[in-house]
Amino acid sequence: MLRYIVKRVLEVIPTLLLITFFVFMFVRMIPGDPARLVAGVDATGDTIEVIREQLGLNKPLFTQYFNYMAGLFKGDLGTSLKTNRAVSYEIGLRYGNTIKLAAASLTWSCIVGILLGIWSGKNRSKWQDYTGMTIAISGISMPSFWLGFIVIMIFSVKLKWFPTTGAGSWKNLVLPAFTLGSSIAAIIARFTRSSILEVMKEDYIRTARAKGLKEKIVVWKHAFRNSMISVITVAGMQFGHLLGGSVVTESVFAYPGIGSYLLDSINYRDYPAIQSLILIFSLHFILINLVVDLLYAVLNPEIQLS
Amino acid sequence: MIKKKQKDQNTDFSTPFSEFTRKFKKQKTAIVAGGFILLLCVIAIIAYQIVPYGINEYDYSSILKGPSAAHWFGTDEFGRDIFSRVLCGTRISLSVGLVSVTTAAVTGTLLGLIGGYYGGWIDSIIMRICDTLLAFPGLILAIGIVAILGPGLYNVVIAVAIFGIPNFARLVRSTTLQLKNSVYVMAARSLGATDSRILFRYILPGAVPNIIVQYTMSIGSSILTASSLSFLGMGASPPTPEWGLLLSNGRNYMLTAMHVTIFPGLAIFMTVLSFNLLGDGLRDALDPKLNE
Amino acid sequence: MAEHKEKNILEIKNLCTYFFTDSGTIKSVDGVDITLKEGSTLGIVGESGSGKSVTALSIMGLLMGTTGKVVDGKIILDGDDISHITPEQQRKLRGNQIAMIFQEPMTSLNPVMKIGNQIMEVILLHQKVTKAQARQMTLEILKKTDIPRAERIMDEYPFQLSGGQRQRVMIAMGLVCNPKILIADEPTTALDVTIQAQILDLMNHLKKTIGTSTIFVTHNLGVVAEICDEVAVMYCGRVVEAGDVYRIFAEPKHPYTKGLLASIPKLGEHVERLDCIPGNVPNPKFMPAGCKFAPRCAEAMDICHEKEPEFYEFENGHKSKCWLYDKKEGGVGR
Repeated sequence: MLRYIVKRVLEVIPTLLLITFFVFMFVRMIPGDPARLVAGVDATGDTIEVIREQLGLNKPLFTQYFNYMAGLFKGDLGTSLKTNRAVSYEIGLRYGNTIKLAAASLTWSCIVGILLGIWSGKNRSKWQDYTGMTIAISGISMPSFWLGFIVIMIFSVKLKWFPTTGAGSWKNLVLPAFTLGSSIAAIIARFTRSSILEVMKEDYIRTARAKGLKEKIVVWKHAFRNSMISVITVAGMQFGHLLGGSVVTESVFAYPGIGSYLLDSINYRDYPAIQSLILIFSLHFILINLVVDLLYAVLNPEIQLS
Repeated sequence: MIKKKQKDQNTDFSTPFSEFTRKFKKQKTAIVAGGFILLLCVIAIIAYQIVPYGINEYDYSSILKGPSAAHWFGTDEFGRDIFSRVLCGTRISLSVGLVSVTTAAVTGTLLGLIGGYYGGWIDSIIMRICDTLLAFPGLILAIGIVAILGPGLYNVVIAVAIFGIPNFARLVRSTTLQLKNSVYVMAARSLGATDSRILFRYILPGAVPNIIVQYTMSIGSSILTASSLSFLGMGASPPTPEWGLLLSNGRNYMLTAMHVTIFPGLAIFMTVLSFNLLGDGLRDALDPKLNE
Repeated sequence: MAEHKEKNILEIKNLCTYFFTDSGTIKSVDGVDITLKEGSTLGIVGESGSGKSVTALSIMGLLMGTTGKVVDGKIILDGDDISHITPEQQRKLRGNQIAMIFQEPMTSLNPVMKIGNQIMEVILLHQKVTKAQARQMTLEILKKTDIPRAERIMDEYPFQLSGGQRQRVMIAMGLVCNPKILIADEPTTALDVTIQAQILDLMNHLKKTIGTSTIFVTHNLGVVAEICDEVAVMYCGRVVEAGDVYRIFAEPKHPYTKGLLASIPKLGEHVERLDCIPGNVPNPKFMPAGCKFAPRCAEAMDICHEKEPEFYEFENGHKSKCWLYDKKEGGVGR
C-alpha cells in the first residue's frame, strides 16, 4: 500500500510541472501589453520600455520561465501590477477566507447530498424519491448567481438574518456557503442515489437479506459501505466545481477571497496575479484528486492488500 | 400427436427502438420538458417578430417598474421591457448551447473513437490532453480561454466547446474499449470489415445512447457556464439581451427592483432544468439494465 | 445416525407467485405443492424459467426489490403456518430457521467485509452470545466445511478466496445457526466440475453429520442423483412429478420427466442423435390452455389441451400430474 501511495504522489509531479508551464505560457497569450497597462494610458514609448525592463518582460521567454520557476520555489509569486505588493501577500490576505468558504460548502453539501441520495434511493419510485430528485435536479439547474441573489434578497434584505457582503464572522459564511454548495449537494445526491440503486441489485445484498438482517442495516452497513467508495470519488471531482463556483459566488457576495481576486486581476490584466491564482487553483484541484485516490486505496481492501 | 405451434407465440417481439419509445412514453416529466424545449426553439426563431417592445426601446418615463399588464416582467433601468429582452435572449442561449455542445460532441467522439480503437501512443496523447483539460476546474478553464481570446460570445462558445470535449472523449473512448473486443466486432473483423467501417457501423452505434444523454445534459451545463461568463463580464456585452448579462445589470437594483434579476434568472433556470429533465428521461429510457 | 421421524418439516400447498410487470403479469409459480421430510434432501428440478428459483425465494420471503408477490398458497414450517406472517416475523426466520445459499459464490459475499465478520454477523443477529463465542462458533463451522486454514480465512476478504472456498463460506454461513431448513439454489452450477464434486461431497457429508433438511434447486439431473433423497420435477411453474429419487429415475411417469431422463447421454451408449424434447418452453405471456406440456408431448390426448390434470398417486408417495393415468379419460391407469 505504501508503494501505491508513493507511486501516486510521484505521478503528480510531472502533471504539476506541466501545469506550471501551461499557466506561464497561457498568461503570455493574453492580448494586451502589460507594460503599457502598468505605465498608464498617457505614457510615452520610453517609459513603457523602462517599465518593460523593470518587469523583466524583455528577456527571452526561457529566461522568464526560468526566473518564474525559481521564484516559485522560493515562494515568490511575483509582484502585483495593480498594487505593487507581493502577490503572495495579496493572496495571503484572501486565501483563508476562500478556504473557510470551500470547507463549509463541501461539508454541508456532502452530508446533505449523501443523506438525500440514500433517502431517495431507498424509497425508489415513491414520493420520497420524486421529492429528493426534484430538489436535486433543481439544484443543478439553478445558476448560482441567481440563487445567490434570491438568497440575499430573502435572508439578508427582507429578513435581515445574515449580512450581504464581507467576511469575518460565521454569519458571513452562511449564505455564500449555501449558494456555493447547492449545486454540489445536488450532484452528490443524484450520484449517491444511482450508486445505491446499483449496489442494492448486487448478489451480496440478497445474501445480507437472506441472513435476516434488518433493512436499515442492509442499506447502511452493506450497501452504503460499497457505494461510499464511488461517492467519495465523485465528491472529490466536485471540488473542481467548488473552485470555479467560488469565482462567481465571491463576486455575488463581494466576499474577499481568491475567487473574487482572480476576477479583479483578469479585469485589470494583472498578469503575475492571474498566473499565480490559476496555478493555485489547479494545484488544489490536483492535490484533492490525489487525496481522493489515496482515500480510495484506504477504503478498498483490494488495493490495500495487493 | 404434437399439436401445431401456437399462433401467438412469435408475435411478441420488440425492437430496441420500440422498447425505447415505450419506456420514454412513461417518463411524463421528460415529455413535458421536451415540449418546453420545443417551445423555446420556436421562441428563439420567432422572438424578434413577436415581442411587444423592441429590445432597445428606451422609455425613461417608466424605469424600474415592476411587472404590470403593459410590461409582464417589468422594466429595467432604461425603461426597456424585460419580457421582450428575455424572450430575445432565448435565441442567444440556445444557439450558444447547441453550437458549443455539438462541436464538443463531434470532436470528442472522434477523439474517443480513435484513441479507444487504436490505442498506443495516439491514445496516450489524446488521454493526456483530456486529463490536462480536466485538470483545470471547469469554469476556471473557460475563464482562462476567454481571457486569452478576449471577451465576446464567439469566444464563450469556443471556451465552452473546448471544456466539453474531454467528457465526450472519455465517454466514447470507454465504450469503444468495451466494444472493440466484443464478439460481434471480432466477427465483423473476421469477415474483412475495414477499420472505419467497424468504427462507424459497429462501435459508434453502441456509444450513441450515452452520447445522446451526455449531449442533452451538456447543453444545460453549457448554458449555465455561458451565462456565468456573461454575468462576470466576460461574455456578451451590452446591449445584447443575454440572460446572464441581464442578471448582472440587475445587481445594482437588487434592493429596489428585484424583478430585474429574478426573471432572467428564471429563464435560465427553466431552460437548463428542461434540458436536464429531458436528459434524465432519455437516460432512463435508453438504459437496458433498468428493469421495471 | 438416529432414525428420522417421518414428519414433514416443510409443506407447501398451492403456492402461487406472480410478477406484476409493466408488460403484463407473469405467473412464475402457479400452484406448486411440495413436501420436505425432516432430515432428507429434496431436489427441485426444472429448466430455466420453470419457476424453481422463484419457489425458493418465495419460501424465504426474498421477493423484495422485485415485482413479485406471493398471491396464494400455504407454507407450513414445522407445523407453523408462515404464509401470512408479517415481514418482520419473516425476517426473524431468515438465516435462523430457514437459510439459503445461492448460485454465484463469486458475487454473493460483501467485498469490503472480512469473512469472519460476515459469518459472525448472522450469529450475533439471531443468538444471544458474546463476540468471542460467536468467533469460536464461526471457526467451528468453517472447519466443518473442510475449508483449509480456517483461522486465516476469518480475517481475509472474499477477493482472496477461490470460488470453491467462497461457496464453503456460504454453506458455513447458512448452517451456523442450525436452521431447520437449508435451501440451496444451484450452488454448484457456477463452479468448475471438479470443485462441484467437492462441494457435493461436502454437502453429502454434512447431511450425515449435521442432518439439516435441505431443498436443492438444480437443473442438473446428475446432481440430483448424487445428493437427493426425493425429487420434485417442475415445468412452467407447476410440479409435474414428485417422489423418491430412485423410483423417479427408474420409472418416470410424466412424459416430461421421461424426456429429461432420455436426453442424458449415457457413457458407452452408441447413438447417432441425441434425444431431445421437441419444441420450446412456452412464452409466459402466452401459456397454452390445459396441460402446459401438452404442445410438446408425444403422448398428448385431446383432454390434455383442454384441462389441467390433477395429481395421480402411485406407491410410496410417488405422484404425477398427467391425464395418462386417469382411466376415465382414456389413459392407461396406474
